[in-house]
Amino acid sequence: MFKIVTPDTRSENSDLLDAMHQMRYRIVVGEWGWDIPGIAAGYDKDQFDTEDTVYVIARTASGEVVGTSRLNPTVRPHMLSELFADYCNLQPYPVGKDVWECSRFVTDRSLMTDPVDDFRVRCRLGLGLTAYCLDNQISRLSWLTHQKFFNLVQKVWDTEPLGLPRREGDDWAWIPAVSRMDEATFDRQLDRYRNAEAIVAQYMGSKQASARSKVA
Amino acid sequence: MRDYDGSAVLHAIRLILATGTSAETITVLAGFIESYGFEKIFLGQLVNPLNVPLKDILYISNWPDELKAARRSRAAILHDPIAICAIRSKRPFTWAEAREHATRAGRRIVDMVHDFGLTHGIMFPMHALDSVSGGVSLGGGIKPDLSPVQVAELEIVCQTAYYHLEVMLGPFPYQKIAEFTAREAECVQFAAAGKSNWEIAQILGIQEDTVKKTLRRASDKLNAVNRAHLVASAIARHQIFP
Repeated sequence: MFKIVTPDTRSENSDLLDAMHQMRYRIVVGEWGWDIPGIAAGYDKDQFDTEDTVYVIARTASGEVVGTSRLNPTVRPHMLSELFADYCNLQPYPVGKDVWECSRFVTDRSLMTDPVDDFRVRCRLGLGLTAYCLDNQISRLSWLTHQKFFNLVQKVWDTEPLGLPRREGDDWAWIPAVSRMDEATFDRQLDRYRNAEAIVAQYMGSKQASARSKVA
Repeated sequence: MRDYDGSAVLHAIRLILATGTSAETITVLAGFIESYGFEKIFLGQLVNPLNVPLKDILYISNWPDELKAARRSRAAILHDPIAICAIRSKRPFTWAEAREHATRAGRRIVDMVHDFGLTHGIMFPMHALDSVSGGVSLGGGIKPDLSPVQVAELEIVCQTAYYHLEVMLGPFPYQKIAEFTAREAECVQFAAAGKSNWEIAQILGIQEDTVKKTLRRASDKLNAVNRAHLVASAIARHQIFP
């Protein structure tokens, strides 16, 4: 379903992380057009990919990195503290042992066949984030979210904005936010993931075809 | 934004998130927007009313009943420049701004709304991953004079209300995601790219007859009457990539 790489397991996953940094570059710089200062060409690894960073990674059946997200502790310098503190004008960005920051939530659509696949990969990353938080007594996640992503996050996690929407000209807005990580959400996320499959299985069942099972 | 006090906004957001019924949510929202000079709220998904019955979408409004009925009878949303701009816009915009792009039919809808005393307003498009687009439109009889900060304040509160309601009242049938099988999605995706049935068969390595049958099954699922309708419906219902 997802793979979590922590500082302890980093060395045995160096190839996977390389592939992840390359995928991130392809999407974030290549597709989204971001200008990230200080990174090497073809490899998105910046000042917030540190020795403390945890990665949630989703792979295709053939092992390609199709989705990734990173987690950083808020007790150390992180994006909201270093770059976007002034965005948080509704409430201060949260800091604590039990609060981590999520960023670089990226998926590679070129590896997916249809929007259901895309949806499932994002579900898997979301499940990985919540699972890691639940396993490590992390009660909240902070993130600087794109408007469309914030509106999805609000529906899935118990979420509050940290600041007013910030946009340049006619473009999409960015909204810093904090979300609660709890078991009820994990159940809801599983339901969302399962719902995609159940509907297809229902169709297949009604056509008297054999049931399809998908191993994530 | 030193010295900015966002406590009123945060308080409104928390009040909204604590509401348990749609009536409560709208009451809190209406109370909040009043201080910005607005009285009326339209909040709903922007879908074609000829394709989707009202009962299957998110739609809440405290506009006068007569106006709502008049709009429904004319499928106003299809001509309303405010709705049309909301689908395409990433940012909030005033009704005045949208009206500049109105067609003749659109101007008739604008005049109809005007006759009910709703002369000025602001529309907040609601776009989210995995959701049909929607909008929160605030209206009143006085031209509002809002700073960018005030617009952002209204935006975040409207966003909170809209998605809180979507979760509360959903799931909406229109938002069902996985209806096509992988093969059906594949065929429709290529049809969307302008490929003929013969070309699709060549690309996928299957019989042309199979392509026809697959597309017919896909059409039946979406109640599509022809190829263009199938493709448009598939994109609208998130079955294929646009």
